Amino acid sequence: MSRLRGILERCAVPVVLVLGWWLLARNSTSVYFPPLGNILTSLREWLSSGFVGDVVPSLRNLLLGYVIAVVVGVLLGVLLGRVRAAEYSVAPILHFFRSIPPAALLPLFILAMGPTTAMRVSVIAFGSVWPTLLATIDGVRGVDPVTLDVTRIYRTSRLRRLFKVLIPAASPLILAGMKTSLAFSIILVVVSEMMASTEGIGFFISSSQQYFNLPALWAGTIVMGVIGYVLSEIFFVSERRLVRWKGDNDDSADR
Amino acid sequence: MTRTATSPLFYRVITLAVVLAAWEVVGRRHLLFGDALPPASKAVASLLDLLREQSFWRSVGQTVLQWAGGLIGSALVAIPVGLLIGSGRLRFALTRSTIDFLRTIPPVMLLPLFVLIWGTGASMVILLAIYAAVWPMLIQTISGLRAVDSLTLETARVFKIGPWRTFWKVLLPAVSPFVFSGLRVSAVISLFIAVVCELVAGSHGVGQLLTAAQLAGDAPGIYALIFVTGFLGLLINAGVSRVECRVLAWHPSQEKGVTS
Repeated sequence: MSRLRGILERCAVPVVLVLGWWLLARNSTSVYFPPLGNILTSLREWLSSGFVGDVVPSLRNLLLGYVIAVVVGVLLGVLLGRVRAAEYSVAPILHFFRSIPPAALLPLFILAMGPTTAMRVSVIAFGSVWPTLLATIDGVRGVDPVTLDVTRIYRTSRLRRLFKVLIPAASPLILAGMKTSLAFSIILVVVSEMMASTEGIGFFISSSQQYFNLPALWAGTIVMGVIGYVLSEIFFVSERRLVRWKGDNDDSADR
Repeated sequence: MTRTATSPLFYRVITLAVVLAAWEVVGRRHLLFGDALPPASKAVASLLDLLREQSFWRSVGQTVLQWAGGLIGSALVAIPVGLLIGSGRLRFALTRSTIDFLRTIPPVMLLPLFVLIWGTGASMVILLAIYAAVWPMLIQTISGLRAVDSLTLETARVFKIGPWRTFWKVLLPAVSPFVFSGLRVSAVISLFIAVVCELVAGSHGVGQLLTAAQLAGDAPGIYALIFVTGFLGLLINAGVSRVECRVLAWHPSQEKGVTS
């Protein structure tokens, strides 16, 4: 019963909101707030015509850029977190790059590489690497030195130590950094398509705006909202799995 | 861990010098990206030129205004609403899924819609910044309230401390560290959104200057302006930390030696 109650509590407000929107905008003549039905019609038109062609490039760029950012961020972060001198010397530069609003880099990348796919992937990777990088440095520096001494005594190989000790021990912080990086990546996918592209959801939305096609604009916004929600749910579920395992480990090890 | 004898400052100065020198050489020889990577000296010269222009300072002022409007507006929405939602189990359970959904919509997506409805002026930028910056503070305020020790509340009840006094003396101090950790994220987001609006929608501000520099192919100017946005970001971070230190001076997390 309590499960049913939980489901009811979760769904009540969204259902009321959607119904309220539908009812309130049913006879709406406002250009800006078209009836929900019109939005759904234009969503259906989009789904049957250019939807795949718009969504696939966006998701591909997002995935490529994000994966590059995470891999580079974690590897470089482990390196900088382990080598004191390296971290000392580049810390101010890293913090400076982290403070730059990621979208501000776009004009530079557009100028350097033109409005290409490679440019968009690069700007996504470069703009969203910093949170993961800095979090990994912090995480690796916080690894219990005794644990590391133990791996040294057992002559654990470097590679094993990296993947079995350092990265797992730092994983809660790394995951927190990766979450911020994901948000940056999503922003950059959209903004890069709005500023310099002829494909993708960002382009679909900005061209709907230029043609004053508000139902299409709303449809695009809703689709991107759903994509953002699904991505963060996927992230949330995988994070809980990873950290649950980490939590068990901690319980048996030092608590 | 063994302490290094050389101070961090030494490493930092050396690295910075090496990076700048490498940038200068690569830029002069056009080794990378052609005209898009001018020598460091040109970028610095362009920055110095900018600093002398009045219109540049007006743009900086506008960006700061939009950032501050977004941050203050989102705090005014997030803290009361968060306190309201966090103080009741049912209210929390009912709103949770909606907050989770709205929070994950990339705020940038709403920009074209906002532009059509409200134009490209400062009020549109501030509204979008509020929408984007409200979530971290809202969520932190809610989880702060839910983390308040029930024993503390019961103690307050046993000592017959009125609800008003309990709110000011028990709940608010317990929640404030959470609010600040949300505020730090919100401050950054508000700046990001202000810059995006200026870049994409052409709202007045530093981002608009960046777009203009890109269209003019003025690479040194782009570097100078990116530097300005990064510097604004650093200033904002430092400013928020300072305010946090002052306000939360009593809290154990602010004690020296505990945090780092």
